[in-house]
Amino acid sequence: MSSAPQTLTPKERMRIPRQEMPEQDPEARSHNFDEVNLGYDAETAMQEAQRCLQCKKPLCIDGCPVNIKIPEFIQLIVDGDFLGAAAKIKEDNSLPAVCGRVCPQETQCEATCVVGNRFRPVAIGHLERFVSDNERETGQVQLPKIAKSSGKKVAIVGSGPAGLACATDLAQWGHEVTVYEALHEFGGVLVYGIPEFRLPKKILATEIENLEKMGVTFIKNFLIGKTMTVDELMDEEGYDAVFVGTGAGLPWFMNIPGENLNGVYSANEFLTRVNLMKANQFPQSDTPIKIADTVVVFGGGNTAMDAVRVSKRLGAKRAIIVYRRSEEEMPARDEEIKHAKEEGIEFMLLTAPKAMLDDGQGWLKGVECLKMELGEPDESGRRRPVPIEGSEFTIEADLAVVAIGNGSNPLLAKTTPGLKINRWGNIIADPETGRTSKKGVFAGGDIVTGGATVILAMGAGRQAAAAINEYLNTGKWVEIDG
Amino acid sequence: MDKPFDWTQKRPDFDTMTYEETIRFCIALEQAAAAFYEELVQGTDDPVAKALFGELALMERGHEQRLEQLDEEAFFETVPTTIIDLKTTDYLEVAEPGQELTTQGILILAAQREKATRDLYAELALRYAAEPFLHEFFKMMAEEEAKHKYILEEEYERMMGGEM
Repeated sequence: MSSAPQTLTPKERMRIPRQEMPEQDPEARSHNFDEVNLGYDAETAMQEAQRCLQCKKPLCIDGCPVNIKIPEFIQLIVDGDFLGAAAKIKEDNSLPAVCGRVCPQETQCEATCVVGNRFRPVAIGHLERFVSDNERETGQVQLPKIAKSSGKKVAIVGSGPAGLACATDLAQWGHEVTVYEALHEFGGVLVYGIPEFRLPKKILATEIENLEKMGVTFIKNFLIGKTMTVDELMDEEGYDAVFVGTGAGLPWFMNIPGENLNGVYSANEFLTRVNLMKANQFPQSDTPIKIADTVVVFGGGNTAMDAVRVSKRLGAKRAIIVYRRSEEEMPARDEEIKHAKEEGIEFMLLTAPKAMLDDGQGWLKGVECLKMELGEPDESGRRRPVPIEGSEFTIEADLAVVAIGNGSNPLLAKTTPGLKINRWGNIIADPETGRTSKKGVFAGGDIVTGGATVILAMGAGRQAAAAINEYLNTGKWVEIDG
Repeated sequence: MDKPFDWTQKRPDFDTMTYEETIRFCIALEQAAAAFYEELVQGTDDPVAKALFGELALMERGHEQRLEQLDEEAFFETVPTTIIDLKTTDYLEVAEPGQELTTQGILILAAQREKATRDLYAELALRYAAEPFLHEFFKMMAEEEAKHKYILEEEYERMMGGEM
């Protein structure tokens, strides 16, 4: 570990160029599932940390959905106190190794970084990742102190980011916490949705182990709403409160002709087969997946980028993103788009699918698409993509993946009397506390907001944990509006 | 002719219908549309969805009233606007009859319904091209239905998010 550097002036700090994240070579990585980003070493992290101006009014904190004390943890890196930096982050974020990898920092904390006004912003995400990896890899993970048992029991439904964040705080405050997971691995979308090359499974496995060490019980293959209902959890199993963090796992489809052909997957199915069921290792694993020469992926989000990059790694000669808007509107992270391009992914923008084409035997043989153009500005001044009549053309393809977003699975709401949902199937919950229309039941994350980011789900999980703690301590329940 | 218009079927032959029959047909059409949205309002607890479908139901009831009154003076007080056609749902499929509709399906169905009604009024505007008031009236009605389609397609895009 280097010694603490001498104090630099703001000008000197700004003169330091942003330290690049080392990456696997694009050609090599497009044939393997190993992590693309390799992480900073200590020296690089300390150099990058010196770029932080330690602003008196740090706007980066406002840009972070969970308000991590960013300048403080960065200063600890400058001081060489990496464990202290990790502990500082964990005061506000229980999954820093995850967030350091998958958070869209460029639109959050880094977007408001003052250095970014003139130069490239401080690489806050890379630094967050560095300190949490360092803590884990050196075997020095510090677990929070656990308060004396409260004698209260809380069930967490779903082991995704919202559920894990909620469980962490509640366990810390002395409550008996049990996490129920429908699948056979814990982590929710972090496990079935995000590929190994973006978020290695070992990272999450460590986080789960740490929670177990904190006394949290994990139960898998247990589908709330089927194996047991929320009412049964409360009335028969004696839980004092339930947190629902089941996410948005029901894929949207496009409703175009031919969408039911063989060779057309939802991104959920496609990614779950590979990420969770290891279909890339078939026949060593039990789950197969269609290997195709040309793969078309519809959508412009991170899920679409993940699916198209997975298809490339599975051996596709052509892997194409088809998106009906322009690159500017793509919700995928800049880094994911950059990585996809480096790996040879083709982008067909302002293009929308019109129909999936049948080879006569029930399998996909191509996709009929339409060109789009940006129409006249609407009242808000936005130019919206509209189809160009007669612009149809065909892409020959033997596999298509629909990655246009997810809705919520209706099972839990349908089996929980008194739990109100909105028209879009999301649970209606107070945004500040996660309180739902049913006494003792809280909810947060994608099941409330619809598909959003990992960090927002974690923020909601923590807010709900605070509200659950208050409810358990006071017994006070306030009805929500609506 | 008071039977509600089945928008998925071929539209009636207006050449064989009198002016009064045409108007009565349009009134029934608007009543059916309003009832469709009112049913959706009843079926949800969500305030946002209630507001969206409630607003559309009110608009359709307003159309019904206009058709019943056909008040020339009131009509010319309205300011014409041109609505952008997003065409988001034009190429999408509506669920098979009998299938339970998802929210996505409801929005596609509603937007395609509005498109069919817009096209019908546009056709009537052409048919009554020689009668300035009726021509303008049906043109305006077509624009109003186009606005409903826009509202629904905006909501569809909002619901699906930017990933689509």
